[in-house]
Amino acid sequence: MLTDEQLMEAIVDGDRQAYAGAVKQHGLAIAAYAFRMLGNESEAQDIAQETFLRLWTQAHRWDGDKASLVTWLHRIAHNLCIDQLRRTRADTGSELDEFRAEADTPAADQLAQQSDRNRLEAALADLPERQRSALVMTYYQGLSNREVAGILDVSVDALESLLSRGRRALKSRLSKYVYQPDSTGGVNR
Amino acid sequence: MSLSPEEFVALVEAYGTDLQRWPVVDEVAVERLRRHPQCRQAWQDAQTLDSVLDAHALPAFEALEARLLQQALPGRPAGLFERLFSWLTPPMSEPGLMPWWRPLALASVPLMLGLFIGSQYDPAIDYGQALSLEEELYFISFSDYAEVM
Repeated sequence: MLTDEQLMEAIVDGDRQAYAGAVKQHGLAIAAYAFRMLGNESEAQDIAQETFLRLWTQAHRWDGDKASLVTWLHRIAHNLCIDQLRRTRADTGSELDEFRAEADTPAADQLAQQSDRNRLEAALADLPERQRSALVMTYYQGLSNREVAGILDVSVDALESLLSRGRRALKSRLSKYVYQPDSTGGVNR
Repeated sequence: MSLSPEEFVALVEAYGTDLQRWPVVDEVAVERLRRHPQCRQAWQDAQTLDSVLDAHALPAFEALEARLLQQALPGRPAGLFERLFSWLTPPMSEPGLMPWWRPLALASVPLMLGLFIGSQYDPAIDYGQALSLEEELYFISFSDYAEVM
């Protein structure tokens, strides 16, 4: 298996086999990250596609001393996700505000009606962007705290604060469904 | 490294209960602190949240790999030699004689070079025996007298 350096050198030289190797190695992880950030499969695939297009066109900019390939790809995907979230918010923000103002059902009740999976996705989507990114990259993507701190341009201490606040917020949003025993005596999830 | 209960709680609240996610691990201290009254609740809460997070499934992304592999990738900007070579060898699918003039031009370069060198060098002359300019002028001056005579 090629090292990051060998792979990127080959990609810089225009080797499409090396590009395919990078896709096979990291494609799913990048799509998974985007999905957990955006909560939408189609948008996650778009982000993954754009990330790998940039891998191809910007490969010469990668510096192995600063970041591993997987970290660099996550940084690209992260920036694309943030752009996408802001675009979506700009497009639908006013409509959502109106919808929320008019809705009869409180948000907590809406959460109760959702499936476990949707409930978690909704709770994740409700987190501020940086807390969500920190949590997803550290918890799901297997990146180290230094790598995630580098991607988010924060110190490790600040990252830990983001993680704690994110987890606390998730716990608070899900507490009604997760942290209370159900009728069978088990934890209701 | 010796963990205090406060540090333990801070780590559990940030990274959860899977020690592989922790930046530093002292397993003996973790085992001890998990039972500490100050830490037990934090550990259990984190464990519950972890189990919810772990249950989150992803879509299959079945067509993703094919989509990434099939996307159109722009070509690399070619180097000087490659650009020259591709200019000299255009696609032969072009109609008429047009595609051939560039390779013909390339093939004529040695010919032109040979003609140039040939025009500068006459093999009939023995350049080792050739007269210098002064000698030439000397003999020409005699020929002037010969014409008078």
